[in-house]
Amino acid sequence: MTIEELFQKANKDRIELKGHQKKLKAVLLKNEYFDVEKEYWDWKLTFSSLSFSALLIIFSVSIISSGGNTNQVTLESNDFYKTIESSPNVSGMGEETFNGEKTNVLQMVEGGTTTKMYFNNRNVLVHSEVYNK
Amino acid sequence: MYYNRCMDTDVKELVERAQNKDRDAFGSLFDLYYDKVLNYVFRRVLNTEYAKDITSNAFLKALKNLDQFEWRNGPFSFSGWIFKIATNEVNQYFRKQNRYKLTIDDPDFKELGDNNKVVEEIEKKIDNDKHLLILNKAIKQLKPIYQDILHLKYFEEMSYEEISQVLNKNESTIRVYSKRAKEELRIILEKDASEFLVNI
Repeated sequence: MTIEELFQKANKDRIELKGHQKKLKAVLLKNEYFDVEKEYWDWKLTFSSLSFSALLIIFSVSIISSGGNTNQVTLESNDFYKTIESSPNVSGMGEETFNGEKTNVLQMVEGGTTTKMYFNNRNVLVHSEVYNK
Repeated sequence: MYYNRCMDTDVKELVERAQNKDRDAFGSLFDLYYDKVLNYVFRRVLNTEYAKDITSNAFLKALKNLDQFEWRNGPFSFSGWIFKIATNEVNQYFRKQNRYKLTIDDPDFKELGDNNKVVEEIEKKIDNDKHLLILNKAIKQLKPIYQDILHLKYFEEMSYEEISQVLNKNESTIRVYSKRAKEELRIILEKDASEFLVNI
């Protein structure tokens, strides 16, 4: 008798445990796995947030390196404001009050990401918000 | 072939939905694979209670790791993955033996079950199946990987391609191992069960 024949002679009837199947299914379906929201790696939001943060860091470093000179800061801020404002994907959204201060809002749209930037009357960036579609 | 290829798309869709926390989709996957996994595990351990515990732990592990599953090995991706988990659990059972524990900690789950009559009938059938008992005893003397291959090939009737996915080895290695496993099994059977084999 070959090994194959021996395997064929062994009983291959399938066993059934319907009670166990039903119970196990019920327990699994109430597992906390189904209650936790799936976390997505949103590369668009992450990328735009990171690039915007980098921009802010460069801006802050240039202010510090200017020695805190107010005129220099305003000048640097104006440069930054002008650069942003002149970008083709940036549009003015008018004035809005932020933290009790009147601000000028610029909106930058890049792919599916929208960034709103709030500048005070000296064109210093005081707040920003990033939205993802 | 272990299951019909026309089911591939359905299974893939069910897996994706289950990964998005769809209970019904996971329920359907469970119903699709429960019998296959239970019977595979049962033939490995030949004990109804441990087969239930191992199957339960395997499905719980599959659920907890479902987010990590990626469909990248063609049509047998999911069945290969679920059998891989079941095989790991079986091997853990062999290492731990009576220290193997059910990991589902739910009082409702422990209280109810299939009535004793069902379990008794299954075990009586096994006790009368001399071929299965002899094979099982002989297979247990082989290396774990050879045991996995023989069970998957001859009881679960999987192709070498499917087995290679379950055991994470390339197909040619599985073919070589399968041949060696059969040779070693033959030697064990000739030594331990020659009397029985002559009389059948």
